[in-house]
Amino acid sequence: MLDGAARLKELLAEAKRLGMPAAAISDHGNIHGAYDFQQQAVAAGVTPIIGVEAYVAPDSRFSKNRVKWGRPEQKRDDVAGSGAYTHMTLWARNPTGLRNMFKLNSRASIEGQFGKYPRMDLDLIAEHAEGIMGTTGCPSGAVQTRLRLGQFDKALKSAAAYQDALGKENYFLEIMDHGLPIERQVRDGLLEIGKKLGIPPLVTNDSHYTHEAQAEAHDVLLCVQTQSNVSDPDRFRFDGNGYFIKSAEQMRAIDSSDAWQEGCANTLLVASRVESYAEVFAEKNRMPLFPVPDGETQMSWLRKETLAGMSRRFPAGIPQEHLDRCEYELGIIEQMGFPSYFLVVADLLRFARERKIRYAPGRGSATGCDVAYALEIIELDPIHHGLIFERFLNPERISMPDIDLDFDESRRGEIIRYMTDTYGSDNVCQIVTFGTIKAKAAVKDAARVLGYPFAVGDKITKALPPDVMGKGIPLAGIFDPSHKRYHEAGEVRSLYEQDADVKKVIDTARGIEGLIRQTGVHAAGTILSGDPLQDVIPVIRRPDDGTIISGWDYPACESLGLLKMDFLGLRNLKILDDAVNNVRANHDPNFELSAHHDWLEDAETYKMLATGETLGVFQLDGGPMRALLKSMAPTAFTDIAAVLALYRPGPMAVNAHNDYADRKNGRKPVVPIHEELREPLADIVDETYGLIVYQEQVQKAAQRVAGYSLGAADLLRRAMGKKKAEILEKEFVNFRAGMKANNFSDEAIQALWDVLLPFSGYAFNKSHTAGYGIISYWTAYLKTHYPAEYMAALLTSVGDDKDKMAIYLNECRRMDVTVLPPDVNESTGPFAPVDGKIRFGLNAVRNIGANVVDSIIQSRADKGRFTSFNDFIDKIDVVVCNKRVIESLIKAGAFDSLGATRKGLLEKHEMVVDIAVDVKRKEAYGQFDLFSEPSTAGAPAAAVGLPAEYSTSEWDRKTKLAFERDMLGLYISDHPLAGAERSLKKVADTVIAELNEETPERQPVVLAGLISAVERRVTKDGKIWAIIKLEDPTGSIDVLFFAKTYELFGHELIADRIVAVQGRVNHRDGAVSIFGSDLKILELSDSDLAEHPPIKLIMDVARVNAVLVNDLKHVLQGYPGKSPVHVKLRNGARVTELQLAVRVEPSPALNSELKGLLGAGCLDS
Amino acid sequence: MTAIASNGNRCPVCDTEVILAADRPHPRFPAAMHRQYLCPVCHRDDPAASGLLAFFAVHPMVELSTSDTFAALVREWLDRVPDPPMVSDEDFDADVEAWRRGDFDG
Repeated sequence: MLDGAARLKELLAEAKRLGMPAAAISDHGNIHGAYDFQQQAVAAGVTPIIGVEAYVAPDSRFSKNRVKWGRPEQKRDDVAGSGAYTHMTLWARNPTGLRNMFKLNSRASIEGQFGKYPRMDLDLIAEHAEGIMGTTGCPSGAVQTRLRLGQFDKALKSAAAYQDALGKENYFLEIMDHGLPIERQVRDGLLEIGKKLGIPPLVTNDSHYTHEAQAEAHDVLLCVQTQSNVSDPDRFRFDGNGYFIKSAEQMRAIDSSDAWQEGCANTLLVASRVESYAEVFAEKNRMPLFPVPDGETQMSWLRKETLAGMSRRFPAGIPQEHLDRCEYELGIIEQMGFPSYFLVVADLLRFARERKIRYAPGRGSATGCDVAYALEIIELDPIHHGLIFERFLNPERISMPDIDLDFDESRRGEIIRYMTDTYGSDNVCQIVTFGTIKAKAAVKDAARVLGYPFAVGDKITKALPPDVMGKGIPLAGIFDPSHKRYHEAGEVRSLYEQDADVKKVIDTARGIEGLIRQTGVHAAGTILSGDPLQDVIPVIRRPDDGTIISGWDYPACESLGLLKMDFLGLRNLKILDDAVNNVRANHDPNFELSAHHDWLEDAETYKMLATGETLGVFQLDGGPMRALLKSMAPTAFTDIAAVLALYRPGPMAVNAHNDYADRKNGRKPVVPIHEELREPLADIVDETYGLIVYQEQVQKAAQRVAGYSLGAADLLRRAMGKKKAEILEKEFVNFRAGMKANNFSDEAIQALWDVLLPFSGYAFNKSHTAGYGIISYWTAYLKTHYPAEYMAALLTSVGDDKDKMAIYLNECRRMDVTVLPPDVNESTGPFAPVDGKIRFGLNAVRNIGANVVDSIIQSRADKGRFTSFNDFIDKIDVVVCNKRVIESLIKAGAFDSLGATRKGLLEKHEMVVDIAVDVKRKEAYGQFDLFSEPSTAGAPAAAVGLPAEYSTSEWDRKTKLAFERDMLGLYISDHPLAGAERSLKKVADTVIAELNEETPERQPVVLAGLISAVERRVTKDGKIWAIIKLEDPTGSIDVLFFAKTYELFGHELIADRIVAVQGRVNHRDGAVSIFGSDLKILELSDSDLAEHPPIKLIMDVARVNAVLVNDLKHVLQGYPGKSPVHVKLRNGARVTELQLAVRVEPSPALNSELKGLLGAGCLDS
Repeated sequence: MTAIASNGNRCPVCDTEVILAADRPHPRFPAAMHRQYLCPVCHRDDPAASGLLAFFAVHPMVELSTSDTFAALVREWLDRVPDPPMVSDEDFDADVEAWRRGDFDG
């Protein structure tokens, strides 16, 4: 990785151009590139020779000690990698050799990894020597290393050992000359060993790139690898620029000696000995066999298991429809050779059920398989939901079955472990991915290694066209007028043309773009093989955790017939599991969710869905989706499946989602596709109000009216989706003939074709939406019936994502589910539902680790509830006794219930922790408890050295809430806007909740609220602008301050400020935001925020006299209440403010009396 | 209008402790007040503030006997103080259009 800058296609083309009959690949320590090399070499007409420049342990591959063969002063000439490895070049001579090559490399990684080097050793090479050729290697090889150290006899012995291991005809004396002194330093000794042992010379030349001109790009790549700069004199680099594909003439011209010339000729000898590897790369059924009872075959056992499963599903007797369907499906499964696959998957899910690992009730097309229903692979009855088998397995199109499985993400590892334990570690592995250097990364890397400041790379990448669906334009596309995004790249092209630095960076970046940077692991895929994997592919062991990973990526593995199973982690399954456990703990110990159709008819759940209050409901919680739900007002599970299929770009582009909602609710008529088709298609399209929503409907319609089999209809659907004119023309002939045979008119045929054709491109698979729709329904059901239990699970699931947490906390507020602050006596790790409220989980408090949470809970369980802060300090373990932990808990309010104020505790917590840690350490050494004095019966022990009292004063609300937000990421015990509604209302002309899709675009508005987040951004030309999140008591909204407005108010945009904003309404992608044009910071005093705000009166001093005072007193006493009365006495410019002893209940009547007494302007707003 | 003593308020421009802060109705947010600071540094050469600065050069504090003079000077100052800055409609619209074109994408 990051060592070879050659691209295969280019390299092989050059080999071909130079008339070379064969080309070899020998990457350092791996054969990741072998599959592609094989395919491309064969395609280029060059014989591929697959090999490796192996790392070989200087003694045993199992030894992790560094080895020195020489004296200390010979350090530079000693074993490479500071004593970690020597080098050796190995090639596979035939299929057996290639399989041995897989084993050598796999075992080097699994058994011999040392640092970053996967190492073989002589024993391993000898064990898998059949079909392998090798050489003495480069100057880092064992033989040359011994020679440099002056150990001729040991060098001879080493060469002899490898010659014995590989066989005399398979071992060569490797000589090379890139102009490096070290390559010639021991040439004579090497040749002498060759003579003594009869080892023929073999000339090689490193090719780290294809053409000489690519030396600079390769040099940059080395800098990327070593995180260095090209101008760094001490960095790792290659001397010279001769590491390219040299012609035979160039090679022969390097040295006229006989040995060199013989070595050049021997390259052809090596090439001629290599046989075709084709059988190794041939596709073969490698499906694992399920261990079935004696006397059973895979198929007979699957049949028995299916019937047994159906009997469990239908204890009162299996309906004939299911028996027939299963019989049909089993026939196809047998015909396609997949019975073991179903047994393997069913067994895996049986294990999941036994271990109570929640998995999705259905996903993808497998939800249409009745055998899968019988085997409890899926939970939806496919017949009841109208799902079809041929969408999953099409007998007319042979392909591997693909059942993707979703598990509770936190327990996915258990599933993989079970697979490995059951089928053997030799047969199961994860799948490698190769990360390439993309255009933007190449630019940034190039700028960095060339020594430019970050801003240069940044400027270029910002000038590139933006990524579309995560895909950027390649650098070549910027200059290629035929590239489809060429016209978007004008800005970067002009930079390239005008700025020499930019040109240099981009030119350099093009040299490394697309090269492989690192390996990764596929997020979901697992390979399962009936054959030992090392016979089929190379594997590697991830050093961090021992995970075994394929050496080739999935497409390569699939082409060999290896089975991939996707085990996906789905967060919502964990939420469901937690929520169900919460319900069991608080309500019904036997509670469980069901996918049975009787369970999917809860009216209250549909009522909730129809309100669009679906934040936190799986797949239904986006703003526009919620609007669609309101418009659709779902009343049945079919509506959930439909909304999931319709809320996609294709159907939305033709307004199908709104049509469905309007037709369902009678706002538009249900129109048949054609009058002749009304009856024939009624049972297919009635559930979707005459619209084609699902792929299954396309298939069924073709079957019903055009005489297709469902398998043929699946092929028709696929063809329609691809939209290739010549194929469509052919299909239409069949389609038309089929409908004609059923006596339909040309108009009806055309009408149906015209509807099916576009919809086939974006109609969705009902099997999937129905399967996932169950999860949507379950989450909606739980939110409706067990709001605290569900929202607690949801809050727990978002972990550290404070933005998400804030959204769900607001939702709790909207639902009137109180969220209580964390409490050392009440909180557990996760959020917990308690009496219809939710207790904040300690896991979500900043600086509080899992070990601290566990320790607090354990201390509470072992020693009883904490009665005071001192008691807490006394009871907890030393792991909790940490200043930062205690400070965090104080600021979060976790001690509020113990009676002291947060400020009071924080003032002394450091001293308390110091004392406590000292005592607890002494306790740990068996010394006495200094805290405990002899106590009187029943009274808690007094704590010696701890403060007897803490200050009772508290921070003002703003400070207290600011600290709380720091620790929890949001406000829990109170909100800065609580009580501010009146003050905000005076300034604002609307509230956020009033702004929706119906608010006219560009409507001017004034909003007032709290800035809860500020995101500053920079435009392409360096101007700053910002998006703030503005919260008011009714909701939150994004306000965009563009560059000109930002210049005026940017310095005022600070989180937690209360502001008024003027702006205009903007609609985009179904969401409402505001373009801010003006801003005013609002200074709210405590009295503004008070629960009982004061009445403020203004009086001129000149008018004040005893009569007036008496009358005022009389009026105020007539309205007793809790609001204080403030009087501003005005004397010219001087104002004196007084607070009266009386408290009143504000009301219009009081205001009226006061105005009558003091004048119309007496009330100060 | 309410004039209040500096109370430790600092100038938002230069962070010097201000002489005086005055609240007056905000010209564009009618129900809100706009606070204006009299800063000895920033307003040193401001003709509108020269009267008030001179007043405080002579009088360490406002007393009953000088309150009328003080009030008149405050009014004169505030009458001449410019409204808080705002973006013009043209600039605002131009930015909106630029955003719609994608010019604000980083």
